[in-house]
Amino acid sequence: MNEREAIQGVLEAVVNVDIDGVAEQVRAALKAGADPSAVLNEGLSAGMRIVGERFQSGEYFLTELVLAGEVLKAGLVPLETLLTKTDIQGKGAVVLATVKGDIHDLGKNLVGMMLSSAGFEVIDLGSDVSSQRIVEAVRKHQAKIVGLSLLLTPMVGSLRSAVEELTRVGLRQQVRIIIGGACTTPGLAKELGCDGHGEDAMAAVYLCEKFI
Amino acid sequence: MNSHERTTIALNLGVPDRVPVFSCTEEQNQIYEILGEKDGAIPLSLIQGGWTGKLFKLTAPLTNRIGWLTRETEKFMSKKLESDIALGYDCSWLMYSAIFNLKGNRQATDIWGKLYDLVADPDGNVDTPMYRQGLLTTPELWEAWPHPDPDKFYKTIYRVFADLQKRYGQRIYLMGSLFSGLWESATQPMGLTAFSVTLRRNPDFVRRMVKYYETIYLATIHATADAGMPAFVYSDDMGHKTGPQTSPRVLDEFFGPSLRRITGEAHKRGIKIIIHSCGNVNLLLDLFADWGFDGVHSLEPTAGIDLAVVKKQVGKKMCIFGNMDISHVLSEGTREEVEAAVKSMLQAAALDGGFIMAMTNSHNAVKVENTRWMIEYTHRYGTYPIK
Repeated sequence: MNEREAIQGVLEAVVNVDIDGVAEQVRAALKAGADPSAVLNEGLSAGMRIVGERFQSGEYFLTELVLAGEVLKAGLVPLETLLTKTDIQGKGAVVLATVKGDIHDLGKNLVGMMLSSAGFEVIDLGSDVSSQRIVEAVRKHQAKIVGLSLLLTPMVGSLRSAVEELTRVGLRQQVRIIIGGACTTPGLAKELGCDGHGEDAMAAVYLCEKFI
Repeated sequence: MNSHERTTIALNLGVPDRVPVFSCTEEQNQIYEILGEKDGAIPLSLIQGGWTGKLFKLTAPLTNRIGWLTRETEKFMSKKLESDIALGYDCSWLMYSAIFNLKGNRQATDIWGKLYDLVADPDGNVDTPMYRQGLLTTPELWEAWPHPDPDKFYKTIYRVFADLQKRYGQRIYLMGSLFSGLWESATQPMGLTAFSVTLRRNPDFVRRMVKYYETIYLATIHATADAGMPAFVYSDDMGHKTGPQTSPRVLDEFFGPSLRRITGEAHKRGIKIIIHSCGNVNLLLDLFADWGFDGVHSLEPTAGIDLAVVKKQVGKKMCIFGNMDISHVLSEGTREEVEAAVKSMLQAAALDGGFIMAMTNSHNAVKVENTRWMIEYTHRYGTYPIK
């Protein structure tokens, strides 16, 4: 097996959400002489992108998407000591948060997983996050994109507060703000002055890639 | 026609005198507002603030042992029905939800192994606990959990439902229910990620787990029928914003056999059974009918559900409940917007019967005034023959 075939094996393990076989495929690729960053980018990340596309097209479902996240983690284990920071975090930082008052985080976690696998450095602040913490994280990590999630309509006020706080402290021109979650729409994004709305995790990746 | 006759005919896909209206409201702020008893609601500050908060934190195990939360929840079920009757609903979704135990004064667990945060509604009252994560993340943890005994569970449900049916069942058509269905019970105590891994590595365990929840549901169906309630709402959120959480194939393979037995048992006992699922369930509608459900509820417009399409697809097999929007129309909409939404829904799904008006979910942002308008306009425009 040459290194190209071995990397293809890694990709297929991810696409087939083979949680118990992916690490072996990664080791085989390394043994075949593949560069660790190629295994990451052309194997694991490329596989995750296909999983995301299949999710978006309706071929895969949430269960496959979250399982793919675990496959990715399992595949990264043999690579951990071999990858440099640049290999892993090539596309810049994205701050993610579920807004204040809302603790639903499944959608945000999926977005984080897909962004990580696409090469972004994900700063996940968790759920029920204050505007202040979002501002601090943007400053600290020099993030260019903020992704805000909310499930519930009563939390739209928190979303508005976060946008206003980023504006008030003078960061609004430096960051793109994207939103997602059950009660969000492109219309809401426009109304609040955000830069985009992602219908699902893969759409969020496309938006972020468009903005960098 | 009275509420019972009207609801029964609609559930049988017929044409009653007018479209019935279904309540799924279970919010303290709305229920006590409707009853004019705003002081009746339990403020979250009672559990979390001041000296009472400290007391709750210290004595949570004792509070659970003496069943304080269970009693309060059961009392609240009565209040819910009183408010539904006061507002003029024809039928009501009566969820048995006395399943929580306090974990300190910030969180709660339920009897199925899920962890929740205690949260407040906009008025500061205790709201429906918000699911945080599963506690049974491995098959070993699931096996070790003290799951409820189905026979004991039957007795509890029967006691509560029989009492409520006796007190309110003549005035409103009651549909018993249990929090929560097989899919949610299988996935949420584990968490969706751990469940997805287990489904791949240990499918036999998933089958065993689902079988246990089936026994709980069969016990609940029998308790509902023995209590004299005419219908049951099977509540199981299988969708998310853009589609089903897992494939229809997996749902049918792992959950379908149990669901067919549950609906079969309900029918044997002479009760109707309606499925509630949030999210985009377009790909699941035919399965719902195939599994034997008599009605389908939620049908959220914000999740891409087109009521007319649903009616065309499964309206000859299931009664359609829903799909009044809560994200705007019932929470912030004007009287004119509510009127327009009611008219539009009636045109899409009610013309030949088999339709019950309902909001998509209970939510603390819904306004009582808007709910009154929904009922008023359904009465005005939903009288057959609908123009």
